[in-house]
Amino acid sequence: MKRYFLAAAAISAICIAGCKKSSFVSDNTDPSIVSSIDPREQFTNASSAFTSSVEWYYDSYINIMPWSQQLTGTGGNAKTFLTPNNFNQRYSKFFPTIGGQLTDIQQLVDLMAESKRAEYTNILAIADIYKVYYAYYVMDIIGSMPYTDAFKGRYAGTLTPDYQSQQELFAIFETSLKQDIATLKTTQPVAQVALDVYDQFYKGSATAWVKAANALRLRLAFRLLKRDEATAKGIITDVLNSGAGDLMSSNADSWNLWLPNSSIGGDYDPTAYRAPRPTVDFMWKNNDPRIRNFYQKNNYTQDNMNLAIAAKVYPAGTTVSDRRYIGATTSPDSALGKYQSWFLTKLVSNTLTLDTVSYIKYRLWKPDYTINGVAGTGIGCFPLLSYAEFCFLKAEAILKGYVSGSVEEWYNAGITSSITAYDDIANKAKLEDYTALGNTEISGYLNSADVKFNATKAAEQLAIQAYINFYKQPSEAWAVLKRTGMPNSSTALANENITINGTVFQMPRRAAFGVPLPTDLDYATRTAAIAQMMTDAEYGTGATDVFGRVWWDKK
Amino acid sequence: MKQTTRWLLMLLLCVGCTYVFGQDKKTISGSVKDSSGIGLPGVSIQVVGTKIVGSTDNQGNFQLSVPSSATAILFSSIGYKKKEQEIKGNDFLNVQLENEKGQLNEVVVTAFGQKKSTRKISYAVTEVKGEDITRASTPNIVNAMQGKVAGVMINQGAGGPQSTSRIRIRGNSNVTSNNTMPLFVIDGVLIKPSAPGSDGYGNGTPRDFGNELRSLNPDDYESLTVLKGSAATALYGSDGLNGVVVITSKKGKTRRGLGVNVSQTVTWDKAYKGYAWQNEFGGGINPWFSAKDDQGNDKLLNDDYDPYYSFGPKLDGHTIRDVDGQLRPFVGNDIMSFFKTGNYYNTNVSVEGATERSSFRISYTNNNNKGITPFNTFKKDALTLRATQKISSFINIDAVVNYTTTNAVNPLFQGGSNYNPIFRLSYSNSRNYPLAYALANYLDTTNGGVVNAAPYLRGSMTTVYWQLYQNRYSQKDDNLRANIDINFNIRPWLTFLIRGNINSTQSLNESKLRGTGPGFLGSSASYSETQSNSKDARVQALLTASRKLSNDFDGSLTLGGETKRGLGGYSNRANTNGGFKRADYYNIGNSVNAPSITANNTNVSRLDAAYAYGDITWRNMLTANFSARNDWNSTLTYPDGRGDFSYFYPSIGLAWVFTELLNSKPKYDFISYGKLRASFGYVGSGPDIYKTSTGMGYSSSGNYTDAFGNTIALDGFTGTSLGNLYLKPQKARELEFGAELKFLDNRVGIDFAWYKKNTFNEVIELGTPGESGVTKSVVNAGNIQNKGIEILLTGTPVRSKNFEWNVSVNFARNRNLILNLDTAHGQRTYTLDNAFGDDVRSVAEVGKEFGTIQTGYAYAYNEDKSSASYGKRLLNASGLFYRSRDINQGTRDLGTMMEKFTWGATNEFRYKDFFLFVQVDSKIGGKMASGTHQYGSQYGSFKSTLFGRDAAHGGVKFVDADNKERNDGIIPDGVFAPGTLIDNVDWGNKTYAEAVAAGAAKPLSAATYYDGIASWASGIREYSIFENSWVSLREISVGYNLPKKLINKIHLNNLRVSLIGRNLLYLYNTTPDGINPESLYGSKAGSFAEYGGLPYIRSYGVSVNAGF
Repeated sequence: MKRYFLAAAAISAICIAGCKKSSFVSDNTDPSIVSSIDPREQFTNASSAFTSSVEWYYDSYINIMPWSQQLTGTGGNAKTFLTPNNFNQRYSKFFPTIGGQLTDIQQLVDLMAESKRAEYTNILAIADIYKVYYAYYVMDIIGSMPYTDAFKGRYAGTLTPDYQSQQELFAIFETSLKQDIATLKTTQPVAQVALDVYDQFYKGSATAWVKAANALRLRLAFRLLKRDEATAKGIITDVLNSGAGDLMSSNADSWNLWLPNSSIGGDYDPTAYRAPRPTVDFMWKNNDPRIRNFYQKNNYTQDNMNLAIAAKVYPAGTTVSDRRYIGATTSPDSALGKYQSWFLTKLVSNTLTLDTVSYIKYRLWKPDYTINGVAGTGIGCFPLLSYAEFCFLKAEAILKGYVSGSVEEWYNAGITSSITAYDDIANKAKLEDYTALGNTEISGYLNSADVKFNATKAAEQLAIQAYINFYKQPSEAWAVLKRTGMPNSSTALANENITINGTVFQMPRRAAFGVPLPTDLDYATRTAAIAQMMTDAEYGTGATDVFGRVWWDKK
Repeated sequence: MKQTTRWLLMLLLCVGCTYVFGQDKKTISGSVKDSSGIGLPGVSIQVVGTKIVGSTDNQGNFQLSVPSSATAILFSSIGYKKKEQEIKGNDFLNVQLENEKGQLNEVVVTAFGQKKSTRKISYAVTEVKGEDITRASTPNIVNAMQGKVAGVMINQGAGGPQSTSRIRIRGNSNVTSNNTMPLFVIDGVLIKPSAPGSDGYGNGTPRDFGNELRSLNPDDYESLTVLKGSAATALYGSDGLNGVVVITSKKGKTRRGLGVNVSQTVTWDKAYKGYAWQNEFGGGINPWFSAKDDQGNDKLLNDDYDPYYSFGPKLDGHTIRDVDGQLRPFVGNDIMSFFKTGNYYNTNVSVEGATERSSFRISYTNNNNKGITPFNTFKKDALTLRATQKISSFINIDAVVNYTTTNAVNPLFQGGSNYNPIFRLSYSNSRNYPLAYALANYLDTTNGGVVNAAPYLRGSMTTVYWQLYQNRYSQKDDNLRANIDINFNIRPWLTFLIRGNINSTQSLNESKLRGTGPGFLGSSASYSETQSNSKDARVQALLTASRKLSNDFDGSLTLGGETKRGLGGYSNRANTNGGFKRADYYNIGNSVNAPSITANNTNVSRLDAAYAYGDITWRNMLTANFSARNDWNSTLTYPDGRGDFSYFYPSIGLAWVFTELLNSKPKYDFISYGKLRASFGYVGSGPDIYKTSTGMGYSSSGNYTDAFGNTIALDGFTGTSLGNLYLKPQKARELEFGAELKFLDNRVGIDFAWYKKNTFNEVIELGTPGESGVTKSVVNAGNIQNKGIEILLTGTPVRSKNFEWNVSVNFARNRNLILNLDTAHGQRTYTLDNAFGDDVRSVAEVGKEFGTIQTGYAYAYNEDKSSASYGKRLLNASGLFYRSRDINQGTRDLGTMMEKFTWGATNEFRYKDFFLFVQVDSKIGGKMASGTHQYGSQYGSFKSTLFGRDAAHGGVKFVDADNKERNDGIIPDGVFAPGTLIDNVDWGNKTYAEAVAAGAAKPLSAATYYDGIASWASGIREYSIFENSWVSLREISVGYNLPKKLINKIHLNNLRVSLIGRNLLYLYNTTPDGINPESLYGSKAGSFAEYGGLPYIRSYGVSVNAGF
């Protein structure tokens, strides 16, 4: 009988030893998870994520930049280049990542002791300005989207936030920015926690953020102009009549993100893209000093030509042209037609192939690019809103008569600011052949044929200069084309008419809005948003018609 | 650690106690075996003339207290003749029972290693004998099972001898794990195989070093039992969800003296067939040379086409000036010479011995494989000791220790990488690419480093060569598995088993990348090593009562429990940065910049279980089984202490040997054995470790160093999933019916099974709108169904003294349906895997089969039923096919990756001492995608792209845009999409041929056509997704047992010589352009795509087996 007892005892011992829940719990506790963090970390997370190689590749290199004729493919633009390819990466960066991180700052502050919360007033205002910037950046090309109720899924909020129209969102953004500016200008009753290095843009400077927020209000108001001039004019005059200390006044005020060399790898790869003929021709003709920072010279040096002559590729005595900045035609029909020969290369030897058309300047886009076996060591600039843009917008406001001042003065200030900014970007990117800006280069350019201010062509000149300035902000260059219709085939910078198989095509003007399946969780909200946008005939043939227009982009 | 100590103490205590009992009384012990010497479990024992009864344990051992007056003991077991054995003063009895005529008395190994009479089993179970596994002579035990078991689907790995093969039993039970591999139980040690492999982007593990099963050594295995259904696997709980393969090691056999067995096998692996590359046309996109050199030779240009596309002039062998300036004959290349003959050397030595009370077997295996690609090797050394000992009449100990070390070097790259030679050659390298020249010149022997001269040494195959010849990737594993079973015979009918085991793996993964710069330096030089280990332990106790209850009933009942611990381990990695200070010294100290070091602990887990199971049999005819198990699982607890972590699941079954009723009815004599069976069972399981913490809190995202050198320590969200505070266990339910029938004195047999299995409450992360701030939410959801039939036919057409022929045919059909995900919340689709980046997916979608292949890059069709061109493929103005998603036709289902059915047939012939074994097996249905096919077609590398090249190949004559007449025109078979304007005329719904006839369009050149249909930018992925059905002549082997007379002279007991041929050829194969059907880039459940792989390989060799 003892044996039964012992066996039973052994089994019960196993059970008793085995059934204490706490040891199961400790086994299943992930030691890497912490319950709370410094809210400022979320700001760094959100700002360093402003752009990504995937976004850069899809949204800029292969969609917007070819559409807005800022570059072309290796052999010119393909006939399919107007068809969006994985376009609108920014949407899924904002929803949920960047927007979620910025929203979480508020949540983290709310969970603090009441006495601590007041120390974060400025940080919350700064985070809100950046959130409005990114929200606008997304809305700009998609139309309606959720904002007020978005990002609340984590905090027991809705998983299907309602969509808000662009009209509503413009108003919300303006109110938010005004409020944030007011907050930052107020002296807070308690000492504020400093963002310092957590702020990748302005190191936490409240005044800098006030200037940035005002500049952003200005950009938004100009977008609104085609739809609601009265409101837009009100905002523009309100901004431009702010105190001088609240407005950008030099490149030092520009809103830029600088990324470290190590963060600009992978799909930032710029090697397959050619300089565009319209802009290259304009810059060459007017001695734009930015040309050497934007594009590469082709390899038709006399030395290479001599090698080619020796290899009997060219007849003896051939000399090369001084001009080594050659752009690619941007229209597919001409790339496959009369300019096709431009893209043909000439093999001289195993190590030398002569190539006529200029490529874009690799290290301007990817400072770590390896040239002759040496990796670049520069840093990369991604402008969000530059002082140059502010100048051009102010010039335009004066031109429209909203505020007083000299159009020419602000036009010239914008150009000067842009040239010096690109000189700085090129310098910091450590271009392989960086040449500092000469003393007379700016004045020479300002006095060149197509650039010298001409009051009768002021609108065109402003558009052209803004367009060139937006080389590193393709979305804004695209917006200039949408907002002003310039530059076009009849402006001094003569962009090409895009012809494919003999038919003239317009450029895409917005991103496709995903059509939900009836089984999708957000079917009702998305369907309602589509229906609302479809009430405007200009929206296009359907949600995915990229040739249609979002609300602000009225004909 | 404390816990482990406690267990060990308890174990010792138990052992100690029983020693005390040992002093109790005089007893008789012994063993009962069948005619082939295998121990018989559950034999009823009765002391004649008394009521003292007992039964044998799992190994056929027994012990019994008897009064001194007892003279004999009666042994009885269903299907065997009763035997009365006299005691005659012995205290140990060796008893052998003989079969009763016409009775089937198979014993198979089932869950927990119990041996059970098949008569009592109520579910399908298939046993594969050890010799069937070793005969296959493959380093991968999974491949050896291919085609032998109904309902077991195997996809061979395609990265060399170490690669992982996917094994799938009765379909896929869940969608989230992406792993359908069954549980392997080797002598009580549980092994859950992982499923390595790349995804459609080449992420993951494109180099497959093999999974945990690489350390298994077939030479040591007696048998391998496949348990398929839930009732069969319920006792293993969640681990058994995908089925269980129970492997039993060989034991020393009772014999005189020591037995020594030596076997040596050598096989050669030969790449016998490549993909269907065309060798008719060479570099370029126009069928003429556009230039001549100064000497008047035809010349290929170094432009964007001639080095890459193969739509150029005919490869007629005349001398041309190649794109790199060299003069060469214009001929196609042959990559098959690149693949060397691989081999498999396997040497096994085993020594065994046994006495009445103890047995041992020591076995050592050295297995050495060389792959067919450069420097791909796989080596294995395995040492196994199995010993059994009756310590006293009450205690039997059975211990197995296995120590295996493996070393895998340079597995072939798989997946979307460009390092696979087959993929790379097909993709963007013209057919006249000078392979041999590139191989001879890619290495800069003067300055060191890679030669990257344009164009032929620029990237492409140069990089492949560099990867294969100059870099080394290796993984070494040391695996220790040990199990001890201590069996206490408490009463004749009552046994107590304590089982403890441990499985420990230590792994070293190294990559040695040689510098590609001058002097073999540069930033590409790198060395990294990852050391990791993991340990699992399990302690189990089983108390089993088994006795005859009355004349009509006998039964058994087991109560037990176990604790299973994932004891964790670590994974430390160090790698050099910025290149080497000194070339070719592969150590961390040789780093130019500070090396990076990361260290991680691996997760721990704990699962405790209590169970009860048993059966009761009525009149040797009707058996009812049941099992009940309760788990306490750490993965269902939350860090805050909440969580319902206990769950219960039962199973029941019935087995009815109805032929018992027919025994006295001569007209049914043709049926020798008939059993009907039914079973119904549940299996519960918990989520992954730490799953309950999903979406909770924050975790470190490392240091961010900004552009100005400030370093900021960052934390962030742990992910973008919404957690679930109320997770429940997953549950699977299975109903199974079956029949086993034997006819004509067991010469013809049929085993039929029908099953339906549903998995519910899977813990799954389903998509939510990103606008909410989370992209997924963790839910308990789903209803995944597998329904199918399995048929096994066996027959012995000839049975005579000198000649015997056995045949076995298995067939299985499984339908794997997704009945629900979380439709209540609008969730209908879950992506399993992808190909071509993310262009094509295999998905689980409600209402569809598991692994339905979907793409938005399918053909678009005219969907207007009223149109005359309804159903025609749509073209754009340039004559290229529209992709469905580009013209608002969205994604299309192209069928499922799951096969319709599988079958296999084996034939064994014996003529005197000669043996012949032939196996054919087959998979019918199921789609695969091929990246090689797609991009190879784009560049004109394959024979399928010959159509249209010239008049002889169906090309149309036309005048191109440059006014050149050519005859490589192709008129795409399709109609223009509605609204297509050509010169402002609407050609919508009209065929391309009509437009050509009207002069509005020109035929496309072959290059334009194939580039359009298969390029990254415009290709139709559907073009490269096709059915993958095959019939393989898997194995032919011939054996000869040398006559005893002869070998006894050289002091051998036996000597067998065999010739083996494996994977000999495909008798039928539906893949286009010779794509290898067994070349999936991953072993994950959803893997369905090929990106290169290996050519077709067959193995043949010889094996000698000698016993002393």
